[in-house]
Amino acid sequence: MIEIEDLNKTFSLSKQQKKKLGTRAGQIKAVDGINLSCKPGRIFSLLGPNGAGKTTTLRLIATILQPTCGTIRVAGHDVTQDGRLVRSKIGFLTGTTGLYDRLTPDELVTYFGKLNGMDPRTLERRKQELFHTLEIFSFSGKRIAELSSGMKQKVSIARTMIHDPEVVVFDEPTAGLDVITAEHIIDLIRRCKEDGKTVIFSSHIMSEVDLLCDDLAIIHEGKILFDDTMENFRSQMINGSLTQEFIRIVNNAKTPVQ
Amino acid sequence: MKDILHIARKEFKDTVRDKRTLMAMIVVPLLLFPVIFTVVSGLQSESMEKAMSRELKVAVAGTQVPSNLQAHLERGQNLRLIPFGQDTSYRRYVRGDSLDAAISVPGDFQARLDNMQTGHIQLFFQSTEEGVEKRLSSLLDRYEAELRSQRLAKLDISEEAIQPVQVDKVDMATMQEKIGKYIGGFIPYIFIIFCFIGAMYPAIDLFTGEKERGTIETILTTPVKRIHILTGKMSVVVATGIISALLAIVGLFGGLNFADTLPAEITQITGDILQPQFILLLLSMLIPLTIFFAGILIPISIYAKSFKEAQSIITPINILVILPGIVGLLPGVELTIQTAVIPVVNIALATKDIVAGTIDYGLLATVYASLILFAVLTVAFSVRYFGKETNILRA
Repeated sequence: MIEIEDLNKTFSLSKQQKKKLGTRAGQIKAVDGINLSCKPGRIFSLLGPNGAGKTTTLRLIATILQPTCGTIRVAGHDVTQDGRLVRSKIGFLTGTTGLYDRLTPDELVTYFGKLNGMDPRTLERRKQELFHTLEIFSFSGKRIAELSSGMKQKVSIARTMIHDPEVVVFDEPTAGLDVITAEHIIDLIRRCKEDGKTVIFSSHIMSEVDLLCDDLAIIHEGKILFDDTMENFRSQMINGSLTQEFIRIVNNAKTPVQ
Repeated sequence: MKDILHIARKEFKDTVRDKRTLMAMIVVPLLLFPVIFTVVSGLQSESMEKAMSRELKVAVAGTQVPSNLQAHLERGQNLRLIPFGQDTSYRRYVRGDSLDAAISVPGDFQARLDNMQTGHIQLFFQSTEEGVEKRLSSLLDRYEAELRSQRLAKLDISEEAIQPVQVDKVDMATMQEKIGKYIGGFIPYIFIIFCFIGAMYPAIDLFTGEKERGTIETILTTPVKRIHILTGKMSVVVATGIISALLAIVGLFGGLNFADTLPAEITQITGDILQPQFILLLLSMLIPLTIFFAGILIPISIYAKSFKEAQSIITPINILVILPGIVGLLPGVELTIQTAVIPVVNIALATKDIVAGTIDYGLLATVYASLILFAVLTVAFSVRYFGKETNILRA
């Protein structure tokens, strides 16, 4: 379960950033008063164009960033007060997540298991299960630098899931991946749902969202423009295609109807 | 504590598997001195030998060269004497390298000798040609000594009569002190440079590298506290700096024993200096020094977006570290209450005094206090810097 109430995140801008963004303001609101609720056993998708605030929101959930104000509760724990506890319940994966090239999959997954405070027996059992399901055994002793991108993605999944997290956060998980490799991630998201985990993933690809999600939120310039079930999104559609409808909602926000 | 150990162990494994770090941390410090000593001493002894044994072409100018001078010159080994008579073109030939030297004897030379006056001989040479002047001067010195003895005999004066005073110098400084001033300035210099270089690559790799490879988020989303992540990583940076400095000393020690052209007493005394006690004392200074370096390197590595950016910031700092190290090599710069508080300079000067056995323990304590204080300050800064989300995620 993830519960977000009135979440705000403001960043101070450096001179260089101001120039880049063409603004004189000293601060920028990346997340502006967000309220969301992600339930266990359902896939929640955060859809938005680049720079909408998706990554910032997910990083706030994962405690990498601290909220300026507002609250986030993950599996019943507050991210500001119980950061460590929240992190122990979370699995975090992005499309651009790297791995330590000089370690082997076995060493890497063991390392993250230990950092998650797992006892050696549970860690070993869980590792065996994941390596078996993801078919990692054949290359578990090779250096990660020598693996193909598909193999690396499998290792990334094993790393994310080693401690059997209750909540899984995916930030544009298929960005930059080929179709076959992206399929591993899609499978994983589905399995997480079957296992009753809370899943939140961000994307700017409507077809991917359509394929997977139960609940949808559209975010633009840090604000939520739509928050409901995927079913309701489809039934309320004005435009014919999902992508066009998404574009319409975002454009409406840019030029509000009087 | 368990988390710190997990992180340190993994980072150390990762570091020693990196060829770039391995080169900077182990191979370069270990082999640098043996290679330098072997190459330099080999080249030097070879070129000295060559300079002393090669045949020299020497012009002998003047129409009245005394026969005893001619005889002396002919006794010189590997000399080809070319009579030039009145021809003065030898200057051009010496300049143009077709002659190695020329000896010019004026016409009145013998007459001046006969009148008990000083006869002048001109020796033309180029100081850029190693050994030429030395070989010919020693021949002419022997000629002069023979003439002096003859004159003294003629005047019935003893050699002692014209040398009223002879000073017998007795150097009371021990060999250790003398070598201490020489090697003692050199050892901290190696330490300082290798502590820094050894720590530099792991610092960039463990912080900037995490950003570049996109792994920083994976570690930040584990339940480990950020300060524990930093401590684990920092301990590896410090360890590599110290290991590389120690390996440089092993290399220096090995190189000294290996290079057979060095005088035996220098090798012997260096061996005496590099005793376990001395190494431990140095190590106790090295640890805070390297922590201080790590405290400078880490915030830069956290700030930098790429390996290249980190290196471009750290390179000028390299010079700031090396320059004070050189101060330790300068004669006349001593450990005082002022120099004892300046990091880098203090360790260079203190080591010099420790090697020479003349260390003031009050000043040594000041050195430690200063090193620890600077280490604490830079570490505190690193902790604050690593804790700031905008720094770690700067992309």
